[in-house]
Amino acid sequence: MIRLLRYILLTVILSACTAHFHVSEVKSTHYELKSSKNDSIALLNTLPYKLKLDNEMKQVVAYSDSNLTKDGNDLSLGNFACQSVEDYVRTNRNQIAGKHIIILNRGGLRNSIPIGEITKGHIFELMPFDNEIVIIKISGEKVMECILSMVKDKKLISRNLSLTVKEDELSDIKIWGIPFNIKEDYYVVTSDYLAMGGDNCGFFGKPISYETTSLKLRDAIFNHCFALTKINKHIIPDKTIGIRISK
Amino acid sequence: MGSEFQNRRDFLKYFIGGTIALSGLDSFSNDLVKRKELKKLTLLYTNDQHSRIEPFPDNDPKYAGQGGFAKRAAVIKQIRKEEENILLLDAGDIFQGTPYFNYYQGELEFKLMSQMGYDAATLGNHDFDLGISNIVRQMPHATFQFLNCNYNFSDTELTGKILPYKIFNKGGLKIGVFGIGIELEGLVSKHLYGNVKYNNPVDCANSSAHHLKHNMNCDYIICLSHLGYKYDSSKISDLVLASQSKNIDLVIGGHTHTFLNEPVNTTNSEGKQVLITQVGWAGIWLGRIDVFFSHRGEKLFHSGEKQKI
Repeated sequence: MIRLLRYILLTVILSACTAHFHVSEVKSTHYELKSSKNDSIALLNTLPYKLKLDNEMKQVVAYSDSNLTKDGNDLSLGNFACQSVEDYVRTNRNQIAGKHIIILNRGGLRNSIPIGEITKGHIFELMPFDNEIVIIKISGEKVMECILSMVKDKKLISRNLSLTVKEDELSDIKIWGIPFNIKEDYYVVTSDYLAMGGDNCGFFGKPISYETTSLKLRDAIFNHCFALTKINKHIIPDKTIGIRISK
Repeated sequence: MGSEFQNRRDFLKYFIGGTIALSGLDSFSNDLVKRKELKKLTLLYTNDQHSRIEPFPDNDPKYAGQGGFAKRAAVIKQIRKEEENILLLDAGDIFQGTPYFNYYQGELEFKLMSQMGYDAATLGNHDFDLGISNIVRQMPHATFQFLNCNYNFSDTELTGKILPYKIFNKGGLKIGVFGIGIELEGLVSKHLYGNVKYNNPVDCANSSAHHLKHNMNCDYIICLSHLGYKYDSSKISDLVLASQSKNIDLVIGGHTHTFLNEPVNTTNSEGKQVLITQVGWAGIWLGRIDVFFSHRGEKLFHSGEKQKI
């Protein structure tokens, strides 16, 4: 059989000869790098960088009772990030509390939170960007645009917003349990990245007011972790569902 | 265009009736390479490395212990011992994702990639995360070439530092490689990408590929793309690009962190075969494609496998 193959291929190959080369076979291998050995020179080159970093990153900041992810319908990681921003609002800007909506983007959460000790390194990997929290005031109409985008693209996350989607109709929109009023203005607490239109958040453009906080989102998460640890609490998954889809 | 076989099994069925064992064929092509009847090009590639210098920590819920630059460096070193004509490529988003980037701004990523012998990379949106000036600042640590043909850098610090394409001569083969980037507006803050102007990826890709094929006489043309594999919307993706392309043989993609067990076989606007590949992110996988060339031939078949190592 092999001989037959050889014959066929050789016939194809020898039957003509031009200047150009043509592809005759493509073979792919995708290697999953799991337990193969390390290159010692690469390790050596990494070492000075690693030592300095490890010292910083190994600091334990909290303890998690379960894995928090953003996989599929798991909202626990998004809710954890939102809760960190909520902590900031409650301790620093209590006057807007209840009239505010926290909006973050799923794509901005870059890694899961594992069970067990949570280090500074884990938080850096969850939130590697240096984005800062900003508070913008926008019209109810723009909030509605934001909500529609949230339902359609599923890129944005919020925790204190709830609504029901039934056959593409939105109903029962509530902010902190209070029915949403499109004629009112609302405070949106978000990242400077989204407020400046990132992740296609054009509706945040030209707000009524724009307030910077100079607090990085990552530092808000650190503060949330420190606050939990201070009162001997662990991170527990918050399964609050903001958007309910009824069929 | 001749027959296109989805995999080796189809090919064998077609010729022999599906009764042959699968072994023997790989070594047969390799035999022909040894006898100089075929030429072999080995492409190695990554995308969306995201500063994952070290493997994921052991308690990571999804990728515990996986990836790591040093592991990849060892595998590449081994393949270099076995193969003569290698191109090592990256499809962008080298930066951002671990504290290595927050603390060292990409310096170590570029140094280790240079040590591994990367030949070229394209820019992803996250490579702009600390601005254009940071890319310029880190470039001296990279011995490989940055490629992009649909961003206009002329009004930025990057002008002249990024080439639209590069031709690599490998064992008598001319391989044309060019880069394509995603639209930065709405994805990256304007103050970070500054005056980089985005041009239509399909037009730019086709004009680069045409030039490489017809003016520069390249034998194989590779697009390093950071557009993303596929979208539900009409947004331009590698699948859309490939279907509207001419003269491109392979798209090595990124951005959507898509793990493809093997390259996807698709057709261009002339009905010719284009392969699209992507290997997830974070260096969890290393992609490899061996392309065998003859003086006269057709794309007889493509076969793929995944290996845990």
